[in-house]
Amino acid sequence: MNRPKGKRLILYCGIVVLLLVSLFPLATVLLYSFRPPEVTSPALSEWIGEATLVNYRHVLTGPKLEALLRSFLISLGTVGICLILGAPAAYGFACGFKGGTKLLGWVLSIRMLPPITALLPFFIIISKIGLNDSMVALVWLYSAFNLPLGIWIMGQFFLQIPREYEEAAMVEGCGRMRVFLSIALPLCSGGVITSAIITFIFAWNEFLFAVVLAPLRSRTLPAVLMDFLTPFGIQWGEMYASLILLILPPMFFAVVLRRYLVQGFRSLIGGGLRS
Amino acid sequence: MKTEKWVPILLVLPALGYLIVSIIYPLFFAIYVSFVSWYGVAPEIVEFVGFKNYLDVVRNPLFLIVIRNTIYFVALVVTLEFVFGFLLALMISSLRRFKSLLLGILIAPFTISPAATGYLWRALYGKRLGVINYVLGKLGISEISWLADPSIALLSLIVANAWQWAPFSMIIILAGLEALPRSPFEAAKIDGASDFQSFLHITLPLLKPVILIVLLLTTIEAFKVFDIVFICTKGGPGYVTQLVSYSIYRTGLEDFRFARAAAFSQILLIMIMGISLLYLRFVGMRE
Repeated sequence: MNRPKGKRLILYCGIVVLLLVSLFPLATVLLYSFRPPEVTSPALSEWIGEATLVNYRHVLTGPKLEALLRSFLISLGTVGICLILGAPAAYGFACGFKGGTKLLGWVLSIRMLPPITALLPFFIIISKIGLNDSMVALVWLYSAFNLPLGIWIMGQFFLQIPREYEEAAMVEGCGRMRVFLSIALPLCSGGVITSAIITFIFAWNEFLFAVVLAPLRSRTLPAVLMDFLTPFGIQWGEMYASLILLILPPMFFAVVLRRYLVQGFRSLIGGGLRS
Repeated sequence: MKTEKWVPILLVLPALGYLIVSIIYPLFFAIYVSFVSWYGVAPEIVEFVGFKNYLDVVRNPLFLIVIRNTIYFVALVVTLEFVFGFLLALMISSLRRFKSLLLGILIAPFTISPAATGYLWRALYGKRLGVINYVLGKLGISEISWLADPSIALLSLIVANAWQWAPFSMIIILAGLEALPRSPFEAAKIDGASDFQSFLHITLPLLKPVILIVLLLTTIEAFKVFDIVFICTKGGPGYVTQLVSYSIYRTGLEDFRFARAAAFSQILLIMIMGISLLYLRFVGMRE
């Protein structure tokens, strides 16, 4: 596209500005995570010479490390369940059956549910069966909440498979299950990965349920950062370092594995236009 | 051969069962709780009280304040996210190189936890030690109390939330822009239309379905906002930043009025469903 030089310049300036605005908060946190813990002043010049990794050392050798590991385990568990339950379901919906579309609509509308509405009954139920303050409870709830989205995304990918492949295999004598396992899944590995990444990010980031359902023994990373906001003031150094650790995995997925995230979003509108 | 028909349904069943037990059942349980008197986690006596809880919620003077805050919040947040998302999408789509990398970087705010956004902006907004006031100070502007001043606290949260969600709009609108056919634009150019004109009369109408989805999804998400309120202001100062989700949390898990909180949360659910239906009907969903 041939654009006059002036327009190009404005475009680039605009992008730089928007980039700065988007990244400024994150860059700030990164920078300040290297600030020595005794210093509280925001003025860079005062402490830049003494930039240190001590904050990270404190966080990674303290009790916060457990929270980090727990978050990791919980996220993996959630992904596992979502894939094991969701992939077959997605394929089933993609194959189609009587009432399938309607059912899918209902499954998807679960996303309209505000988490808080599910939280209250869940809290009561979990307390009654003795699962309060456990990682299991979180994995259970996270996977349930993320299942609809996972099914939708993987379903979109399954829908892309040309019918001929499946029909050829079935003519050769493969049952539907074989088709699913040996043809559909391998072909749609991209969709499965996308779903896995999105689910992981969701579980890793989740705050409300973590704070309410696992307040003591099983705290996750987002919840544990609340400790830094003491009534006596905020422990900035460790807070910033922990924040970077909290932000890192999702950002890693976003920047390095962005291909999958973008695919995931495309599938959101792909379906919207069709439904 | 006949059994083949059942396999798709069998494949769907486990997930369905899981969802029914994990979400549908608790939801109905919550509806039940909203119609009885329920104090504490495992009350001895539970009586049916009809709509009393709902009336209690609505008659509470705090209710109107919270609803008003929430509607104000949602309206502004959705507008900001939409406008910035659109601008970002337009800019990215006109690039030839670095598109993918830029996209990855710009998505970053969206992928981090809303809680992280809360902590982050709380640090930025600090009165004495926050970075924003520091930068303003260098420019000669005096400290602003972003989170403690009742007149701007909510706006501060709105900015933080929009910062996080604008990339979400961006990426969906971008996908929509890239799916647009070239021919109408080429025809318009031949006819002498300016860039702005073709934007107004071709791009926008063609993007209507995508715009609808973006507005709908961001609105629903805006109603659910909780983390930044909890972390930045806890609903304060006073009640100015108390949004519905946070208010329900307070009622249920700090005051332990489960029944009332359950009723409140059903009201929230109905609000969200109502708005979704309104969107779909108003803007007109084809097929």
